[in-house]
Amino acid sequence: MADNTFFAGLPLETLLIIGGLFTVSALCPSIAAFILIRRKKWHQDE
Amino acid sequence: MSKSINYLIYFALYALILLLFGKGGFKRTRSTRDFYVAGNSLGLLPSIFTFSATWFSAASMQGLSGSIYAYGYSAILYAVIPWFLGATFIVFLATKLKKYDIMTIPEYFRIRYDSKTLQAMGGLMITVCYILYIIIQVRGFGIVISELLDINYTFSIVLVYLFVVYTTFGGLFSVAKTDALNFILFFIGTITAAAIILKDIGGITNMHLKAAAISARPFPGFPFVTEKGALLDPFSKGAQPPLMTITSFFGWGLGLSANPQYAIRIASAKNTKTAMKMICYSVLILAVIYMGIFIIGIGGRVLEPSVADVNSVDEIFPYIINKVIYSRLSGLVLISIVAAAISTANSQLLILASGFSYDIYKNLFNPNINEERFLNLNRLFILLAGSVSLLLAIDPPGSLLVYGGQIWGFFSSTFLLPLYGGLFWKKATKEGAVASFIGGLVTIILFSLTEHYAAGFVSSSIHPALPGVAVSLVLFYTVSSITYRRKGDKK
Repeated sequence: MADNTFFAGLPLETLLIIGGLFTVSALCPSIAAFILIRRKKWHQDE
Repeated sequence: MSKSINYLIYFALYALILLLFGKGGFKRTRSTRDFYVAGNSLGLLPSIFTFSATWFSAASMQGLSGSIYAYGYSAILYAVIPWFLGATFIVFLATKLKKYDIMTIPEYFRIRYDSKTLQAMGGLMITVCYILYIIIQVRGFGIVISELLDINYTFSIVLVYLFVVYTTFGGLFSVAKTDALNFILFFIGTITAAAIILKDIGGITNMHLKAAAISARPFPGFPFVTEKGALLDPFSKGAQPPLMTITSFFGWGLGLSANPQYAIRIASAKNTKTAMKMICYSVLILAVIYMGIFIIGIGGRVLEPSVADVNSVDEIFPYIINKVIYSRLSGLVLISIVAAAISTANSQLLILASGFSYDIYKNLFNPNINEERFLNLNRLFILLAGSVSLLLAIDPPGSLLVYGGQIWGFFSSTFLLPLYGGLFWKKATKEGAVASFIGGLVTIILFSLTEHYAAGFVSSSIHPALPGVAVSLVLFYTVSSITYRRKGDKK
């Protein structure tokens, strides 16, 4: 198993697919909001 | 101190604080707007608490941890990633929805499409789906309370149900206050449980190396024996079909993005910027909590590779806490599992009440009903609908995570296109929205029934929400395009 692992005992494939997608998806709302706020693409209600 | 006394103290303290917090909302609730959306007044912190606490339910706490225990990391692809991607859609929703002065999502349908029928259809959908969805929460706290107080499952679901109903009677002010308490509890509970498990195993690397070597059936009724290395494989070495995992996005992901329980939090936030921040910060905090859940799932499996005393994945987490890593903090962790279920259940009961009372009854039959009578009607409906869920939960579904994804699929097949299409496409018409709603609904019902009754003859490797959303999309686009053009010609 050890020769198949990459980080903290986790296989590279799992780290990339699950770890990568988990990180990107968790950041997705913030990235979207950042872009929208910079472009001021939201309903101004204040 | 004995285990029972330790647990009883935690439960009594929690119940007392919950009732005190719930009581606070009664005084502040004077109108329907206060009851449903807290007077559109929630600031950033209460919005984050209520959004996160509504999100993090028994499906996350017990369903996900148990699924990771049984299948491994592939369960993250099936549920968590679709949830987060669905939340990204809600950010876009927040940019437009606030300009509509609404108290329920179906009310938006009436305003945008000038259709009381569409509002009532939305209300009916909410009523049915949430009665079925609340079963998940009832089942969740039922399992834990029966373990915690060593009482029968049926008695424990009735006991906690009374607390849930009481905290919902005060409307969103009560729900938001209890959500803050529940959020803090499940945050601390998850991190504590993950820390204890990691300490017992000796670190993350050790946990993964041991998990890779496991080859056993997780519990007697589970259909697969875990292959060596499957717990760390992205698709559990075939136990989780890749197509089903990927298409679960149409149920869990798009279902979340069109789900009234999240969308209405945009209306209850005090302004658009608060709503957008609420979504982003909540997802980041939830990501941290989910990492704790991953450790509980995989680490629990390492500590106890096979459990003889459970019948479903949902019972694994409470079992691990109570039997495998028992300590003085176990009561706190078990209460945190109850907190996750209760915080979602009361939000869902509130939405459920609005679906029936506001979107169906007031909209179609009694628009001039007196405010006080209307609030009491909501409370009565909370009691009635909650009781139906309670009765249905006596014979609960097999897996909370799979069952939840199927119900959320009904929202992606019906609400998604009318909601987002109406906000982002000016050619969207009432006829298109109605056709898409009905077409999506009929498709997902037919597909689910075919899968259920003709299993073995038809492929069940895709999520039933995929055909539902596809039909809904085609109908929404074609019917709207045709009717928009016709209306243009008439002018």
